[in-house]
Amino acid sequence: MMISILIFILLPYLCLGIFLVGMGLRFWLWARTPAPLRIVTTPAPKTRYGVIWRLVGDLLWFPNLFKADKLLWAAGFLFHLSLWLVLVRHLRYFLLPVPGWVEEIQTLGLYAGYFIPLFLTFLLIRRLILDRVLYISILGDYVALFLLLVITVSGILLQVFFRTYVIDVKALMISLIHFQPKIYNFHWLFALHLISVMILLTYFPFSKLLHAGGLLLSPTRYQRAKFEERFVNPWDYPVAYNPENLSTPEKYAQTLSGMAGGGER
Amino acid sequence: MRTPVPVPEIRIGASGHQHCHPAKAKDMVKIDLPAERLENWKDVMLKKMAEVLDNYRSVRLFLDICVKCGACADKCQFFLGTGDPKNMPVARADLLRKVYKRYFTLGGKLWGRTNEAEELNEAVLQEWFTYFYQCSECRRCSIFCPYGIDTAEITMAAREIMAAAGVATKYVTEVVAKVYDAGNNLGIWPAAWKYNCAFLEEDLKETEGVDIKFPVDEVGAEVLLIPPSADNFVNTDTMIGYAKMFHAAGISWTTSTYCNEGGNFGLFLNYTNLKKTNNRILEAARQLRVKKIYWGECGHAWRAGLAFTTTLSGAMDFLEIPYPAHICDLTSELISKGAFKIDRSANDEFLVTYHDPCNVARAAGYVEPPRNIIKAVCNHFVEMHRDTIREKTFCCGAGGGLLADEIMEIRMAGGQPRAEACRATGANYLATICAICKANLPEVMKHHRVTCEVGGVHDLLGRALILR
Repeated sequence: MMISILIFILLPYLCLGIFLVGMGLRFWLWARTPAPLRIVTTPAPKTRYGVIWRLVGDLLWFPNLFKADKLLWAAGFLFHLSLWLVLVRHLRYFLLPVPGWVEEIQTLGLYAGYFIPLFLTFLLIRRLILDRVLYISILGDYVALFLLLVITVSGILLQVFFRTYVIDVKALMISLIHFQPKIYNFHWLFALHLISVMILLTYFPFSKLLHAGGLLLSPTRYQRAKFEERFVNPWDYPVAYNPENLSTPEKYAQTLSGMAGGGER
Repeated sequence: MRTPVPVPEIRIGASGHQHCHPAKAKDMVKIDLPAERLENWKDVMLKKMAEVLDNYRSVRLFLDICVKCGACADKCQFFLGTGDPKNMPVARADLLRKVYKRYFTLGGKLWGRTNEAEELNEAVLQEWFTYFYQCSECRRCSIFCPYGIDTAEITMAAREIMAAAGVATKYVTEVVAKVYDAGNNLGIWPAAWKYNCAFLEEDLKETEGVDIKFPVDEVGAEVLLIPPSADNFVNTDTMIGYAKMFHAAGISWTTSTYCNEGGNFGLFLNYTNLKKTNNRILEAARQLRVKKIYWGECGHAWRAGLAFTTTLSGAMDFLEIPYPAHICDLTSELISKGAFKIDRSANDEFLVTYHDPCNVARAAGYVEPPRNIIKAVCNHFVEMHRDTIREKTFCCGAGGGLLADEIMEIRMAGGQPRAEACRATGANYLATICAICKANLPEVMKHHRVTCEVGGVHDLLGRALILR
């Protein structure tokens, strides 16, 4: 009983809380940090619409990665697409009544989910066999892949072999959403699925998973190449010459006036 | 994605022995930096790092969001050339990231090394000094990064942090100090500048029989030209090209002995010197009461000029629109208006290809005007492989303050992809609009045995212009 309360009630509230506060703080930190200079990269948009298109493109189909590495792009793109489909599919456990479009995406989301471990395995193997990628990999890179593997494999097992009583799952979620938590009996595999999702959420704001959304505040992507417009650095400060410097504005003015005087004589 | 040289296997420490000479006290003092490394360098650097993190969204965000996918790894010419894994953009950023994690993130404070966090110590500083001066701030990695992570921002941050504690390279600091003494990177004194200009005038009169002026400090001229100072001294054919163009177009112009340099080495050091150097351009324009400023054939100059001038040096509305403007804008516009008589056959001995300087192509999106000029003045033009030109261009190997002789190995390694891409075209003239490219690429071509002359775009124009 105590364990159930811990896993199915306290943990979700705690982890979701950390996730939301952590993400909020991180975005606040980024947003409040000024971007002092215009650091656009070619081809840079000139208009706000251009920026929106660029960011939407970056979020949806990763054009830079496509330019860089086709195979990695394919794996990364399919993984993210599948992940989104699965996430949307999961909305049926949270929404009452279930909207029609969530109903319609169920089958697609289901199949997408079966493929995710394949993409993750590919990314893991790539990380291990490409010497240069292995060199830059740190524990955090494996932790993220491992957590996602645990989540997706346990999810697939719950769907295929250890069918969970989804009515109870939904009842739990609805009860949590309405802050009137109730206890139900679940298979241990469901507990594993839920716990690993919660760990991932907790880990999210402190890790490279921040790339989701961080992109929107990346100056090289969102800035405009409107060079004729003045771009102001909020923390700009005046600079001055020191006595060691020989070429100063004052001396140049003297030189020029000296020359003009000489010309007149 | 085609790479002109095969992607090497990693060779740990392959270029670790190549580092620039440390700065000299006399230069550091002139550019408002500590004369030598401070006693409490570590505290100063950490304090500066906190400041940089609070001042640059780019740095903070890029350190946070990198997923280490490795898409950038084989895009850097210094990794391709050396195989040293610390020359992969992501690994270069990791040098800063590990210290950031240790002192500025919860995970790093709690779990230390298991979370890739590391104390700032002597070894780390040595690594920074080596590898942040093996990056040419060319930003090629940034256009392949799915999040646009720009390693030049990281390199600039690290150099700024080091500089605050009195750690910098001789080459970069020397150049900045020269600007504040002589007005340009090469340290050409005003008298010498005027002498060189007079010499070019006489030379042209003798060889071509035309009276073409190279005006200096002419108050009230219409145009102030900000060339790289090398054009007055080494790449004189480029200077002659400008002068002939202005002469043929009937535009009054001048250079300034206060600011006869566009190349901004403050960009490779810290914000204060970036601003101070850039301010000189608008100051010279005000004092000379010109109507327009044109930047000459210089890569870093045009990045600072186009993208940063209004931020660093204030509004340019005392000038005529359009601003900021590049000399190639003017020349290609005049050509398209039919302002010149051109004999293309003057360049028939050349099969010309064009090397996009990184800062011009990637920071400014400036790829067409130089090509338009070349196509208008040459009969034979060929492009290098499309993965090595325009915004995907490779660095010459010596940008970003790396044009120092003590790191010649790095310069030659970094220039290799460009050399191979050039070799594949069979071109015998590599045109470019950057003084650093013009200084390093001839060496690179010689080193990699590519028979190709390197020169400016206005050099070609100068040859083809009919003045009488």
